[in-house]
Amino acid sequence: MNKFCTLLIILLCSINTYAKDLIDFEKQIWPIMQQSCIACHGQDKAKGGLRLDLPELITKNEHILKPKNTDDSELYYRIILDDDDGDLMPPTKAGKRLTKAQTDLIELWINQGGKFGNWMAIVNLSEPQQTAVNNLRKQGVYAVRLGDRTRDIRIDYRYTPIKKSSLFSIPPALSNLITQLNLSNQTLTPEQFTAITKLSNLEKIEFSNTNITDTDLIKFKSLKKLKSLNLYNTKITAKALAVFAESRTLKKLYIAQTPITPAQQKTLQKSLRKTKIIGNWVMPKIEANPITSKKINRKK
Amino acid sequence: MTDQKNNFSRRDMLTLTSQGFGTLAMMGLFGNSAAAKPLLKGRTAATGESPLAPRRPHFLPKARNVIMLYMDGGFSQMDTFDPKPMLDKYNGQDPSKVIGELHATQFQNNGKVYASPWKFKNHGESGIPISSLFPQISTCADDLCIIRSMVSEFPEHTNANYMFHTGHGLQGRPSLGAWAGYGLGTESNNLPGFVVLNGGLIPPGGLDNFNSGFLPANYQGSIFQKGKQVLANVTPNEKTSRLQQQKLSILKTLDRSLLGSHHDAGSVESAIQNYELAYKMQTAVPDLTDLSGESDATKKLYGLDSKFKPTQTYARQCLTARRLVERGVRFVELTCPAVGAGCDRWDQHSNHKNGHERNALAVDQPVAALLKDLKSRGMLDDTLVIFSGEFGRTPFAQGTNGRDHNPTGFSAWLAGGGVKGGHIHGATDDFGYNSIKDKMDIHDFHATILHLLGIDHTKLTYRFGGRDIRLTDVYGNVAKDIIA
Repeated sequence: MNKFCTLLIILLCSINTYAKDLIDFEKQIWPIMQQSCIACHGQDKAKGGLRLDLPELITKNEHILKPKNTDDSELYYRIILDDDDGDLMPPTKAGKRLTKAQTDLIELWINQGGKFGNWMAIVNLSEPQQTAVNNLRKQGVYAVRLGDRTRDIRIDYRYTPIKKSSLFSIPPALSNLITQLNLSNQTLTPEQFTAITKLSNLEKIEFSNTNITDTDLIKFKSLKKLKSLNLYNTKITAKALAVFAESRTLKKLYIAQTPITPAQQKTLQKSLRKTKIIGNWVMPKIEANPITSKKINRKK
Repeated sequence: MTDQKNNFSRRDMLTLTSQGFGTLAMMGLFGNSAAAKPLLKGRTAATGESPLAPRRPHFLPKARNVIMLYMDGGFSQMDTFDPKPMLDKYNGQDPSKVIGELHATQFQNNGKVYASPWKFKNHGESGIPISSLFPQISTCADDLCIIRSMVSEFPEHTNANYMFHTGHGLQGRPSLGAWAGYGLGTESNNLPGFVVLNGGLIPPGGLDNFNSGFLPANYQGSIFQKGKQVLANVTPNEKTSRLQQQKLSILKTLDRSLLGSHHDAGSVESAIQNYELAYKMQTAVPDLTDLSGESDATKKLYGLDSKFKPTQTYARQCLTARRLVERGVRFVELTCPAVGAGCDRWDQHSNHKNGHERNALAVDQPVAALLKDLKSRGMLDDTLVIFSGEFGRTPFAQGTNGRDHNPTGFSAWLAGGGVKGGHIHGATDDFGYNSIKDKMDIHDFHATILHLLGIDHTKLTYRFGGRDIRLTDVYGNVAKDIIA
């Protein structure tokens, strides 16, 4: 099979001069970039503020990639500079020069319009981050990344009661990555609640059936990205929730089975204009159902 | 998310070498395994983890769980969510003159144009029209995303059921719930990833509707029966748990010794894991089915006290479905309860009015309660609720008072899980006969559901019989319009 493949490649290469097929970014360009660019221009380092690991990050600055114009695209002209040129990428110290075949391929891709097709780059966790995730999972805590192209993580403590004695132990390696946190059914200390407020990228918190108090909750107004807060079946009052009136991000607030009355909910809804407040369900009042009023249980 | 190794298949080779200029560069990269990876591969669970361990989706998911309310038999679109005034206008007339050319029906006993026996009203702020068959579901109108342009390929139950569940009209393919488990694992540590709550009626086609097909057996649907004892043998026979553990430990040792020599190690591995799961379910299942912790108000909301027995049955199923999702089960499917009087399933070839009323009465209150309960608990954001049959029914009568199967246009709805609420997608013609706008076939439906779960349906594959097989085969378009 291998010999056959090699033969096939040689055969096809010989007629390639005439081929006008579109370059497939994912299959042809991305492997080169992974090998030569991403170590410095990925999520880990982003040297010079430049990241090349997502389409929208590559196209953000026109001087990096200008479709059909290789002269104005740094992505091309900086990889063909002379070896002694300080602007050459990758820098001589950092990595090997791209081969002629590789630079030609990138040139052709830019000239064809620099399209990304269906490419979705896989972002990887760093080693300490991955180890931290694995450790949590070993303890029975569900830690799951929210996609291939993100390092955002959801952590779910549904099955692991948190001990009062231990300070809430989110591994430091993950503290900036956690966007969703489920602590339903837990009994936590005030210190533990405070520790959660340090997870500054939290977007969604589930505190249903927890012992959270007004004093604990007020501290959560410091979270600038919070979108959804679930306080189902807690002792929270309307007074504490008023602190979220200033929030620009909070979209959903769940307050069923709390001491908050329907009237208070209405007032609260007026001050939290950007937030949808969801309270208790109301038993539907249905007009006499024509079906149920019949003797429906009769035997065949 | 696929089991294949990083090798070049014949097809990959052809694709790569047909890329023109790129071939030259690829030659230089050939030795590099990173470059040799054809596409996104290698998403299997970390070594040592259960095949049901949670796995990351392709992209940020809208929904994490699914509850599928399967309306077995196929309810009538014109009588529920797709009002057709033209049927009133032409009621009693010859359908081939009014509607035009008719497709073959299953029984070929076509009667006259049959107007809906039920009245429609607009509901909620969105003003979605729903018929008087569903007075309680109507109170949730603003949470429903009604799809009026559903299409299936089969006019007969068994094939249509397989199609709806597995994306293929013949027996043997993995069910949607099994694919979801394969793609994402489950968040529960003591319950299966895919649970079927059997209300009494297993859809035609049988348990193969819930099978894992060529996927590992860990992903198949586990059937929970109605009533309080949902599983056989969930109470151990052994007098002490130590005795049971010893028995299981011997069993495990024997199974493990087979692993190296058996030609199908995967099945043995699945069996071992299924034993372990079954052991945990001995405590998890009684806890699940014990409703004593639920408030009386909640039980009443669902209709556990209903005078109509089938409503009670379905109420318990719906409440259990919420409890399953609460415990992290990825995919829950509910089958219909028997409603008696010769009207089981939504399959009214005759006696349409009575049959649809009995079936609607059985599910209306429990379904509405499920939506309200999930919503107030903040669970509807993450839970996609699906309400659909395998096809719809004809706008003309079968005989005098029935309706025959109609796969060319029918309705379904979705709620929660990131879909638009109070939204109507697609349309049928003036009579509700054929889907004419934003047609949604079963592959599109599956692609959209997987998309809501954060899965790219073109990339969720399993290698079987020399092919990377997808739930959506080579089809499927995500209906982006319905996503909130």
